[in-house]
Amino acid sequence: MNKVRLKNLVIENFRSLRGKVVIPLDAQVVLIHGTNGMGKTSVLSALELALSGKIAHLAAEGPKYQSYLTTLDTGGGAISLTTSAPLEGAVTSGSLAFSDDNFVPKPLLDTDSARFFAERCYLPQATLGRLLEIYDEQKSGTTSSLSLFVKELLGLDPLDALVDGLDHAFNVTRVRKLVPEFRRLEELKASLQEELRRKELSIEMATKAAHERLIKLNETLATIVVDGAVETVTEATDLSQLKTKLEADREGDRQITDLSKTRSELRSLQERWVALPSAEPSRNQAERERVDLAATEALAIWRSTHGNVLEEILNAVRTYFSDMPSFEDGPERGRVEAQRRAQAEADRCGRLLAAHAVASAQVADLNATAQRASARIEEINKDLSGAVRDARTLANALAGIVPHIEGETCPVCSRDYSELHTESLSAHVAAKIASLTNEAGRLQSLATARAEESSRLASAQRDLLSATNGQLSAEDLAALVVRQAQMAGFAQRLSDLKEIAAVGGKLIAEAAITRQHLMTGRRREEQSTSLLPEIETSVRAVLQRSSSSFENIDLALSEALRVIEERLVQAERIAAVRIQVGSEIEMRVGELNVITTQRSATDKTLARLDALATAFAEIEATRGQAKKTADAADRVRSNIVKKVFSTSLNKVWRDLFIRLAPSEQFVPAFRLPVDSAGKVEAVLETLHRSGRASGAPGAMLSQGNLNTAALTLFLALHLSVPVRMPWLVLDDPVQSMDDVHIAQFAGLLRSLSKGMDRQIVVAVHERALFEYLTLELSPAFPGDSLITVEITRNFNGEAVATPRAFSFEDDRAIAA
Amino acid sequence: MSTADRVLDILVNEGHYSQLPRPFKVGSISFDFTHALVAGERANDIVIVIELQGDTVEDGVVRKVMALTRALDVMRSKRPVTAVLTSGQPRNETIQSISKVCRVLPVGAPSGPDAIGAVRDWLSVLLPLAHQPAVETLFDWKAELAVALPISSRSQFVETVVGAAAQGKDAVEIVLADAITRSANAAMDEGDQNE
Repeated sequence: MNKVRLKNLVIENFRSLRGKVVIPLDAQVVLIHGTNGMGKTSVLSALELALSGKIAHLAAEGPKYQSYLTTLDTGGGAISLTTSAPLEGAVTSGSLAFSDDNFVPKPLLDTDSARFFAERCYLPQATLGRLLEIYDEQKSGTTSSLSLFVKELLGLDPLDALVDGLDHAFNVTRVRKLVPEFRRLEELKASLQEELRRKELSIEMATKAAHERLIKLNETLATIVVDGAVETVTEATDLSQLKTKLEADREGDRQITDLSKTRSELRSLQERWVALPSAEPSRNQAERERVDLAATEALAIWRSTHGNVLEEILNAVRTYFSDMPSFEDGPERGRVEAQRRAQAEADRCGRLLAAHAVASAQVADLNATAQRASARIEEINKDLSGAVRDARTLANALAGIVPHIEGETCPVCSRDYSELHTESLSAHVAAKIASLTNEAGRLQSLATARAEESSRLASAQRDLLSATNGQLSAEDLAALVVRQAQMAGFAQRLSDLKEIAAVGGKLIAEAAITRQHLMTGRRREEQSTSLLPEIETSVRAVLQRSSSSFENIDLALSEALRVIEERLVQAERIAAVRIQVGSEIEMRVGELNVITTQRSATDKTLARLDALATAFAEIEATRGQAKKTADAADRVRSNIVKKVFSTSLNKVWRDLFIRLAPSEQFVPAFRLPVDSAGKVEAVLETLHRSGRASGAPGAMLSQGNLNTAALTLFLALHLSVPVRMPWLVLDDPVQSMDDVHIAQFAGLLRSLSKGMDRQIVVAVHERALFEYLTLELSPAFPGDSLITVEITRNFNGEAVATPRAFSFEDDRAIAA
Repeated sequence: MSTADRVLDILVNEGHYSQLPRPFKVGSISFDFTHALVAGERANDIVIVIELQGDTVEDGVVRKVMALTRALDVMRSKRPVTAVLTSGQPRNETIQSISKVCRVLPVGAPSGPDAIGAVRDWLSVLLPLAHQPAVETLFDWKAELAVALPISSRSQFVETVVGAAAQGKDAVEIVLADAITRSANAAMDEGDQNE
């Protein structure tokens, strides 16, 4: 067991403890006494704060209490605690600094240990009153105080893990959530089933279709005859064989070919027959020959006379125009064309000659103009060459000199002008300037005239050039003159031949027509002679009677055609039926194939579904095992809990309760009903000494014994869990106990301290009880120790702690 | 066996008390009770057993107890005194008087099938607390689970799951998920190979 003891507690300005108090704790039992309001509870709270950093029963309602820790008007305080040895790690001290707005805990215990201390080692008054309530509270889930206690006590985590971890197995939805593959497996199964259903449906449909096909096939087969018998098809018929047989039978095709051939022969005969030129019965061939001869003769006569003349002229014209129509194209046409061409040519020659005449006249005029202009320019040039070219410049220069002339002295040569002339120098210069100015004007007008003449000359020369181009050469002129005359002559003669040409044209046409008639007659005769035997053969082949037995050939042909058509239609129908049968057989074969394929696919799907079913069975088995394991774990957990409650906790509680209330007939205990879900829920009840179950503690026990029950429950819980810290801190636990109980309680405390090695810190408010406990808990063996601390106040209102330490003294009153 | 003797028996055998001679002395004064005992090693209680018989004068009993405690006080002894009253029913005044100076256990004379239990209940405050076995030794959850699981349902999976239980809920979930996943994947893979 851990022998760590709380050693020393220093408190400063904490709640009702004004000033600094030092509480020595280094003893097996520490008794703290103070009358109400002196601060006993504060000492224990300070102890809790130093150990855990909070006051558990206040912290449940939030951290607000932290700002009320400081003694009024002191501005802040501190708590520090030491232990005799490190409890966990190397920590042997804990502290807390606080003020109205500050709270800095450095607890000695870590969070978990702090909770353990607050729940199992420290019983504040506030909790004592509510303890039974707390543990009787029926909370759902695993967070009730009792459940926590059970968990902590038993460390049932593996079983909890089994129960909670395997809980998924109980619900398919949660299995899906836990294992995504399971969902996929289910989806796969659903899809395979859907696929299977679809395939079966398609097999069903294919079977139905194949059956209908069979009926239809038989119906179709009934309309044709194969090898002299009507074929019937059953489910067992070898269809490919039948198909081969049907395809092998080419008789029908050959028949159709023959009939078609005959028909087209007949048609062609009919066409040719109809196409024969219609006969003109009135005129026979000899008459036609005669007419033709006459026409040909008349034409020959015309040709040798008038025609000859015309032809000569036309040939003459053709020597000029090579693309002329020939005489054979019709005399009138040739004549008209030739006349037109000759006339046109004559006109053209005339126009050219006229243009030449105009151009010649123009050339003569222009030559005259050019000659005159050249002569005038020559004159002006002569005029200008004598004149002073720079008369104007000299005049300007002289004018510039005029202001410099003073008197008669020349400003240029400085000679006296009066020596030479009588007139003044100024007048002389002025006259000279005037003369020069006039000369310049004349010269300017001359230059203008010269420019005009030059322009006129240039224009005449240009026009002359174009006019010269318009003139014909002498050779051309001669040829054109002759040609115009020739053409005019041709035109005139052709115009005169108009009537003759018309006669010739008519004669040619007549000869052509008679010739045509003659030829047609001859061809018809030839054709009908060759066609009739053919018709006779064909008609006889078709109708088995001569075409001559008909009224005429047309009727015979159309009758033969009709019969052939009928036969052809019949043959084609049979062929069509055969084709239909073939295709239906193919379709049936296809349908049977589909059925086979789908069946094998269905088998595959079924195999896969089987595999899935196996997997599902496996999973189901796993789930079953998981469920059984979870159930078993749950059962085991319940059993263990029950066992612990009945053999351990209830036993300890009873033992403790009996010690404090030996005369009480009803003993509190936990009962463990198992609810429908198999969950163990502890409820409080009382048991009569006789073992009979009775009502709840609240209904059966006095207030004092309820208090006792709560206190002993706390102690029982404390004793039931493994010892993590051997401390028991009780705040005035005997408030509503009578003397008997107090004596019993003292005995119990002694047992706990001396028998169970707990360091006990108890605060009491009653003086007598304090004294009594001091006596009862005084050290009973070497090493046993007791410290009592009295909390009072001095006249300044500051807290004063007065500790007394007791150690073992051998008692010699009784010689034991 | 009288109740007084039963008390003596329980205290000596279960509480490791030792009997004082009769009469015994505190200082120079002799005291005579039905039985008188002192506690053993770790306690210093004095227990006096007083059998209230028909002729017992209760005032005399009160006086005797008062005298004993007074004598102990005089001797500056710190031994707590417990008076066990057996057989007859004491008067309330007697109990009140005595309880001012010591612990009183008015055991009386329990009868019936659990008479001894009743006596022990009264005396339990004087007896040491029974050390409870550590709860860990109370059970072995694996063994119990093995018993609770039907043999038919034991399998590799169950072994694995139970093995994983110590690592917590998540480990268990993983084992469960793995087992299901394996089955599912096996079926799905087989299908994939077929295709």
